Amino acid sequence: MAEAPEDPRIVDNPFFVLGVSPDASRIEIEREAQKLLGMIELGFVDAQTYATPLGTRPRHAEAIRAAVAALRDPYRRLVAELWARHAPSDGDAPAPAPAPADERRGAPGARARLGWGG
Amino acid sequence: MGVLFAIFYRAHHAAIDARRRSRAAAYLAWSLAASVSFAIAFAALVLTLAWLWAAGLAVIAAPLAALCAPPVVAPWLIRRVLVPRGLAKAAYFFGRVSGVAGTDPTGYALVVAAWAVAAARREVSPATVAWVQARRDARGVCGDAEVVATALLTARAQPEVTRELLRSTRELAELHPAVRELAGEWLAVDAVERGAWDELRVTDQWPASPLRFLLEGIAARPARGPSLRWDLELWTRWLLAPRRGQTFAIVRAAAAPRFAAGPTEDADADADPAAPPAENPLAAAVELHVALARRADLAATCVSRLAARWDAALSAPATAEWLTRRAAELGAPPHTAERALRETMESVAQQLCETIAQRALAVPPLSRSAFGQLLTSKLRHGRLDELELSFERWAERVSSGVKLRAVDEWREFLAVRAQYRALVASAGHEVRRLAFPRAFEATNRVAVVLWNERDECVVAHAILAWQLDEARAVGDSAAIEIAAKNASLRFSTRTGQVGM
Repeated sequence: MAEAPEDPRIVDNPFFVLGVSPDASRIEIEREAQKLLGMIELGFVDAQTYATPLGTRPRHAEAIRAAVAALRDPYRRLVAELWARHAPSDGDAPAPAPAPADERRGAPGARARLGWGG
Repeated sequence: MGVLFAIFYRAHHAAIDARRRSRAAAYLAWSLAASVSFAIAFAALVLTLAWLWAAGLAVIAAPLAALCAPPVVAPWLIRRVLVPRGLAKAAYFFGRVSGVAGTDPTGYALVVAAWAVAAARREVSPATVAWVQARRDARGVCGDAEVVATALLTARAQPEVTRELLRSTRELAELHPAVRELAGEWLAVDAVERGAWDELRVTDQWPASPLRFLLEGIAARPARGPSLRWDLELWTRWLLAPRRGQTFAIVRAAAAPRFAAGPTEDADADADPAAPPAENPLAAAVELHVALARRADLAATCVSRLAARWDAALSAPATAEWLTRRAAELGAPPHTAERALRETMESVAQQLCETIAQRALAVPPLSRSAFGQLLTSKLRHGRLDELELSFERWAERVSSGVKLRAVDEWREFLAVRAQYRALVASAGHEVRRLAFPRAFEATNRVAVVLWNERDECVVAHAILAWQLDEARAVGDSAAIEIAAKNASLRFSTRTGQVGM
């Protein structure tokens, strides 16, 4: 996807924002959120970013509150789980689909070498 | 001696003309005939000049040399000296007098000048580019030479534009064999650069220059490895081709038992199979979705594969079961699972649709599952209106008298047609039938203006021929009748008459 690195279903996924497992209970989620809010208020560097399969993103107090609110709603939690549970962790995703065989066997610079490029 | 020169010089060009119609053994035979006749003609010319000089007839020898030498040395001089140095104006002059220029020497000269712009070792000045463009515009009516020259002028900055324009010349009825040979050579070299060896296996679309003939030979490597016969033929092709120093390594690699640069029959074997893993189709879809999200460059095949995986995931009973179970465990209201499935389907389809539309990617037929139908419907929605608007805007501009150069009208036709083809490729034959009437009406208006008011018969004829092919494809009998009549109209080109 052209804009997929900003795909909100992945980068704003409440489970990634809070750094909790999709299996986490409601109490665990609330506890983690309180802890993160406290850490951010105290300026803990570790709490200021979170990992997603599409790379690290900045974490703000508003995002934490929005994530908790989302996970309190069973429907929104279900959708968030669908993505978080099945997404590979950062760096674990399989290598992107290989380019077509022909492209891999190209000869960069052939135009110039064969008299057709500057 | 002069007669000997004239005979063998003509024989040389006759052999080159015959070679353009052949491949394989006949090509080699005609090349040999061309080389031998050229050698004899050249020797006859040199001996004549030497004899005149020795006889004290320098006053005859000098003008004779000035008259006979340029056509003989022009092909070598253009390729070896003028083009690499970007001497477009000199290339234009020698192109006009070159023995291979054919019936329209200025057309060939124009293309040779553009070749010097495209292939010079150092970028040529904007003034030289403008000079070539002025020569092109001064020729008036647009034919294959103008399209090829325009394509080559853009080759440094936009090779993809060059590729499309050069390919499009096959649709033009005006045919300069020497120009087509150069176009085919650029496309062959470009295919090697991109690794698109399959394109070189199609050997009936372009007359083969010796370089193209060599590259086609490499592309045609036998599936089970080179044989002695293939080796011999390949090395013969190499001997005929220019730039032997540069091509030696490619040919040697091709002749080696393991050739990584060329195509192999199992080229697709290492492509990711389209079928997703059956165990957890949802995980497979999300995994690929994330993996592709990390890529800036996406090929149509990647998006197609992702669409197929989502198709499988969202229609799999296991996905619905998992959602239902989790919804129950979370204490969600009734129908939450169905809603989650429906809205996930909707948002993924929307995203895929936007990606496909933005990149004009082709999508293979999707399954008749709910997701497949949703995606198909989204692909159709809006894009048909957009396409019709593009055709309409183009036709309106042309009809209102706002003129572009004919070559730019051709480029606009190619752009709108590419949009049409992208829509048809992604949304299927039904959409083709829906889109064609408006496309037919708009292209017909443009073709009529180009033909009747601007005498741009070559470009207009190509548009009419496309209409006819398309009308047949969709089975529109009224359009077939009109297009068949229009496409068979007789007209003149600089290389001969076309039509009944």
